[in-house]
Amino acid sequence: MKSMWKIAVLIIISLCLLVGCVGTSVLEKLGLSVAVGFDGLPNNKLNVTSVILNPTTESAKKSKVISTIANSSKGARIKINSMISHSSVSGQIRVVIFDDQLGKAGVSDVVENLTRDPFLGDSIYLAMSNGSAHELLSHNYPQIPDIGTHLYEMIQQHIEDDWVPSCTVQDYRSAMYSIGSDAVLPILMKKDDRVEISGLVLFRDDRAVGTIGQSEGYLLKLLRGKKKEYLQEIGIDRHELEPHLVSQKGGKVRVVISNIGSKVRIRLTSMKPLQFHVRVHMDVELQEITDRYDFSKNEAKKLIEKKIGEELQKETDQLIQKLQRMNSDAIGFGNVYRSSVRNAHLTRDKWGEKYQKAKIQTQFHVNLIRTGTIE
Amino acid sequence: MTNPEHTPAKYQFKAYMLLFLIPSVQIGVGIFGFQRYIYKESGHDAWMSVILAGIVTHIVMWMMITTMKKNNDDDLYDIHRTLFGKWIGNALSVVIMLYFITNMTAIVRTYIEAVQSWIFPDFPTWLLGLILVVLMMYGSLGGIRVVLQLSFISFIVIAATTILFYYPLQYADWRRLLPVYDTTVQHLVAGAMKMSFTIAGFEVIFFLYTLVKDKDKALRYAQGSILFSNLLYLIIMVISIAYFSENQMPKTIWGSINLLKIIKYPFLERIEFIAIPFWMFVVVPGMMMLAWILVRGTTRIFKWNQKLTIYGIAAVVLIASTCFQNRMQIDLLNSYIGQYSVVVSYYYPCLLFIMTYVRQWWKDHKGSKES
Amino acid sequence: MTDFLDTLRDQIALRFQDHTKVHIRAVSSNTAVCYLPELVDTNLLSNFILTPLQQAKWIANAEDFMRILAVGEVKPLESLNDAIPLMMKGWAYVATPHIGVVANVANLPKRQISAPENETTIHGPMLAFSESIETCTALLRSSIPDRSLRNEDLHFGNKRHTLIRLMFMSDRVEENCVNVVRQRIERLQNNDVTGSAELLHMIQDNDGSIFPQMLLTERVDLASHSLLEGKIIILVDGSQLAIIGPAEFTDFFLSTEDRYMGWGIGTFLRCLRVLALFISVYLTPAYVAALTFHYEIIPSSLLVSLIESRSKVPFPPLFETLILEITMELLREAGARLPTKVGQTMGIVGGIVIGQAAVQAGFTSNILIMLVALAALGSFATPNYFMSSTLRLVRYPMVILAGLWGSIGIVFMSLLVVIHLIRQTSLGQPYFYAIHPKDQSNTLSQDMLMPEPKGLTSTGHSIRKFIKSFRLSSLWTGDIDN
Repeated sequence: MKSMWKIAVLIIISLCLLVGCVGTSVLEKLGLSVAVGFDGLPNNKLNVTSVILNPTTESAKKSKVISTIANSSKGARIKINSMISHSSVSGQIRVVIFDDQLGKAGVSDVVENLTRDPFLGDSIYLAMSNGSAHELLSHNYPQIPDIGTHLYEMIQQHIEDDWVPSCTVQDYRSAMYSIGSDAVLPILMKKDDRVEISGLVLFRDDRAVGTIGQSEGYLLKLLRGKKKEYLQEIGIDRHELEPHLVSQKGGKVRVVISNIGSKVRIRLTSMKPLQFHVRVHMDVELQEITDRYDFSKNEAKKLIEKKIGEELQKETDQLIQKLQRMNSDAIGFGNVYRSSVRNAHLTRDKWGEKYQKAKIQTQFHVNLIRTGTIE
Repeated sequence: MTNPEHTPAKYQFKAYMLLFLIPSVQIGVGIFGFQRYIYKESGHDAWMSVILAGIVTHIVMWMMITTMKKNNDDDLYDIHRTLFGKWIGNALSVVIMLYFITNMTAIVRTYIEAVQSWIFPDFPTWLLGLILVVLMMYGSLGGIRVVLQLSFISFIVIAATTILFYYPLQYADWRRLLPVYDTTVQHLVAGAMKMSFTIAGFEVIFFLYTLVKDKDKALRYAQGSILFSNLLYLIIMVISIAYFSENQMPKTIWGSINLLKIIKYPFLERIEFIAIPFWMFVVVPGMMMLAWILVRGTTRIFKWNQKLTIYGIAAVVLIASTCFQNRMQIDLLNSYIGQYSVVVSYYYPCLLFIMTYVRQWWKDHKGSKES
Repeated sequence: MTDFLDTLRDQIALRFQDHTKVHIRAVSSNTAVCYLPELVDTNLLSNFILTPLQQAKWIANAEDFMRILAVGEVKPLESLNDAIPLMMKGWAYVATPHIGVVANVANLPKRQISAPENETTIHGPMLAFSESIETCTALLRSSIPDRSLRNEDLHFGNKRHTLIRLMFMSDRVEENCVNVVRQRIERLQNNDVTGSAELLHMIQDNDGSIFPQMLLTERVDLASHSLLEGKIIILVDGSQLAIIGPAEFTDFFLSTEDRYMGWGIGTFLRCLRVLALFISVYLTPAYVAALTFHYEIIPSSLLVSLIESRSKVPFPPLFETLILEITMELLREAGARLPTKVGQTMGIVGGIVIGQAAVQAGFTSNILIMLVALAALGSFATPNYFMSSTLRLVRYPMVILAGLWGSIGIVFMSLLVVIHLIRQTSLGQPYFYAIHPKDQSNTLSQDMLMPEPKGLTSTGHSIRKFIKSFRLSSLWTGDIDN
């Protein structure tokens, strides 16, 4: 009797093992998509370009690019599947690029569908292309074996060390769904045989409303206060530094500073009329100065600190006014408002009206820690 | 009245094991997506709801242990018999057992749903249910010792997974927690009620207290275990509020898993593919604990054969969990259980507490009258 | 008076199949010595039995024999039947018409004490048990010259009449365990046992489990440490392995060398072994699961090289892994069975050539070869050979389940193994502890591998006590308290 039970159990186990199969995704049989580009076409169609990894040791090119026109991103995947020998999967997508058409029309549909899929990571980088994403991805770059991984590494490096603020899906969505801030994405531009990040695009809800350049992007990242960024070149008027300049040249004095630590405090100073005060404290290291400057005196140091601060403040004021004109709250003043006012019951639309009329003052306090190894 | 089946010294354990046993039953699958329900009630003050629920739980735990102490260190089945008489007491015990078995089904189905949503969309429900149920059976046949040791391992798994949560902090905006206390007390209380399904599970102390060797330390360690799970939920809630923005949170079904999704190490990405299967180490001991309680009940009340009862429980849970096909039905089941868990875990122990004192007072009063 | 000798010859012919093997040496007309010549020490026989007998005048009773024979062990006998088993062991039967005694002049062939072959340490003592039970007992007694070290002899077996000896320290051992061992050995009276490994499998708690429940060792220092901890040693005559019971799961991962190296290095080595355990069991299944189901967890820097190396392989990852694992097992088994002169070369050639050629032919990927080799290394880091074989065996279902169900399969198998280990007992004592119960009594501090508290300040003492109370794993303790 007992042996009958044992046999019965064994049979059940074998049946389970045979029948209980799970669909496999064996690695080398997959067409791993590393980067996807979406171009908006009329009639709500999308031109979807997919960069698929194709690593074989023989060829120098590690990826191939396939594009198709479809109604939705997954619909495109179905069509792409029929074009390649492997089955296309999206688990390793690192970069998603929109073109400016789609940016103006609104990218949230595509992004939401990206998030719905559990196999796509939340740390996918989003970017906008200057022109068609298809052209950006499908161009034959002689120096770049795999455009998808190259773009991923480029964006990653800029986020870690340079002036691009974090642009993952999580950042985009949390900004879009928040009441008081808007998303910022980098702009990729194809230049001859290279791709570079030419600036940042500002969003209002899910529509692109304007762009800013590199030095403005630096200030924007500084004010957002998340990650560190380092080098910035500042131009200061000559006669302001007059007392301590040693050499006599023409034009502006260019100073390159490296930001070692910064603290940004944004405060709501008054509700009616809406006023904010931004105070930035920066510890900087002077990396380069185009003229000879006499650092030995204390007043000289204080003077250059003051002048750097003033220059930064001027540029920041310009940036903030530009943001207000575009009605894109990339820095997050709405969050400050919401977190300081009780029972604010703020909504995006309400904040949109208030933001454009807000008065925002900035104050920079720069502390020059060192001037390198020489004075 | 001491139950003649009071456990021999072999099965007793030291009080500090409660520290691992209770969280392993409490922290099952509720932790995956509890955030958004409370957020919908209390907004960004949801963490205060969590604290409120935690404090109430501490009080109820004290009440539970005092009830058992006053009732001669009996477990819940005997307390029922003492307070309500044999027939009603047994009926109440059966109701509690039905609650536990439904709880088990809900845990199994929710876990399967998590695996199917995130890792294997085509994993057959019956197969994963079978896996969980087979493990539960194999462990329960080994007695309380298996539950004890596995609950320690599950404690380690929980602690290790919690440490992973430091990584999403770099995307967190702490201003989302401000301003503090921006909602009304009613909302906070409503949020705290929603926490009940997640925190519930500590009522197993009713059945574990008899097995503790040094009962004077039991209260200390039981409160410690509640403190641990409360802190855990609090930390995860705070991090979730800071990470997800205001309109993003209510749309996020599996909050904790989204938090894990963004983790990136040089040698490993997408930790949730590892964390969710390893969560089986937490789910299975919880199921084994509940099965053990059920078997004690059936042995006590119906005198059923223990092995057959375990097989029966396994079959029932397996079949019941495959009946729920889609997300809507699972949500319905969970909210249903959530309501009942408030009653069983919070209201009912208060009732028992009051009844025990009343009975005590009546006995003393009657005794003093006769003398 | 040759009647007596003839009767003796006939009686011996009756009892022995081939009686000519027994020498019957008549000393006088009514005294004879019977023995099996290949088993006796002829010096002892001639000097201390034959010579005194030849000089003896009159033997009336057994006490006279005791007086005359100058050998250590002399036993009086009721009948010839009692003498037969002892004669088979080299004793000499001295017979007179009325009385018979047996005297121990045995000189059975035995091996000299040598260094341990399979359980080596770098610095520890190089004493290993040999096949003679007397030598083993002598080694243990000389390392623990204490009165509470008890011996207990049990005989069993139909044909082999094996001598089994239990040794334990009576003031430390658990009485139930000794009783359990006695009962189990007595239950097996009719079986024959060729060695301690076989005995182990007969008296184990659960022979259906692949995990060994008692330690087998050939090292004397490990055996004497275990005796001091309160364990029982079972010695079987004819086998050079000693059984140590009851054992815990972590005992199989400890080596006596950890104590010799001191607490810092010892703890590091023990943690290294735990890491090796996890590597050997999980590395290859993780590879299979990741490549068959979960390509998303592979970071992008590894992705390209992985795909490149796998692109030429015709098999799915599961089959590739199984083929390589079985090849590794074949190499190991062949290396164990080959004669020493040929073994070394074949091992190296086989390993390197097969590995290299397989990769170049596109039969397997080089990453997998590295992983399989690492896993094999990890399994050999376990000091106990029986446990390392078990771990290698556990890896196969894990790989198969990983290939079928991905990470769920790995977790399922792990849970199955863990629950099995927790349910396991060794001589009635629990086998696996994830958390050890707090220990009130303070046994030998060498259990703890903590620094000696000489000169520790009071802070140090309280820290030490604090850490001691958290026996989070029995890596640090050898206690069998429940």
